[in-house]
Amino acid sequence: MIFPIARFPTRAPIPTLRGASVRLKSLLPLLVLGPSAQELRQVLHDTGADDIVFPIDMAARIGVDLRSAISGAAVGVGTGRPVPILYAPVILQLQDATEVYRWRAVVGFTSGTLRFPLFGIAGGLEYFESRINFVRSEIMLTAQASLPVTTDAVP
Amino acid sequence: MDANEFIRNCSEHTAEELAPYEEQHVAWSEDGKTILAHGATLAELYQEIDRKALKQYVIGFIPSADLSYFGGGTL
Repeated sequence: MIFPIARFPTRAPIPTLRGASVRLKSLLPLLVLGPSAQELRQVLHDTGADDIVFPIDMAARIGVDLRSAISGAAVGVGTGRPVPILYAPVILQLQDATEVYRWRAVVGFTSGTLRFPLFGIAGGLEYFESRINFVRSEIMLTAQASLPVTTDAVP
Repeated sequence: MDANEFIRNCSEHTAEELAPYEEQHVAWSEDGKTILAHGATLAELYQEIDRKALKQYVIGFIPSADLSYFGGGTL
């Protein structure tokens, strides 16, 4: 799969980008299927994130019951103290113009502030060869044999 | 939905167009040409989506045009 890298304009020239006024963000449109609904979200391709993480408000929206979820804690840049994270199974789907991949994953839901959900390693990037080319402005993901594909619509 | 078209169209918006939505959660149209709903929090965005009875959309976030982000989604 090949995705363009998203571009966000800035108001002022960016010194570290030699005066350019566009920020590049490695966002992917990820379909998340829960027990009662699905949601299409922009998620951040993040090799620094251990897990796939969504905001906790999304869980109820797609019917994920977190009452019996395994709990943990997570930290990130700017979080200071660890924030709670609850893990639950969902089905994920990525597709570009020519390929579609749907697989099962256990993901985290957190009450910590998230601007973009994180498409991290466990349950996500671990199953793909991933290349980001900022010169060509492309994200290339190649599914590996380990991807736990499914055709199911409900986790 | 054509994911690549969505990303390309989202990227075409100017800073002026996105200014009203900076640091807000948004619901994009599936072609990325329009912001259908927005909210300061995800809960507020969901309320707006429901109020407008939207069915087809992509949830995203509009970063500030003035801020540099350290990384990750959590700040």
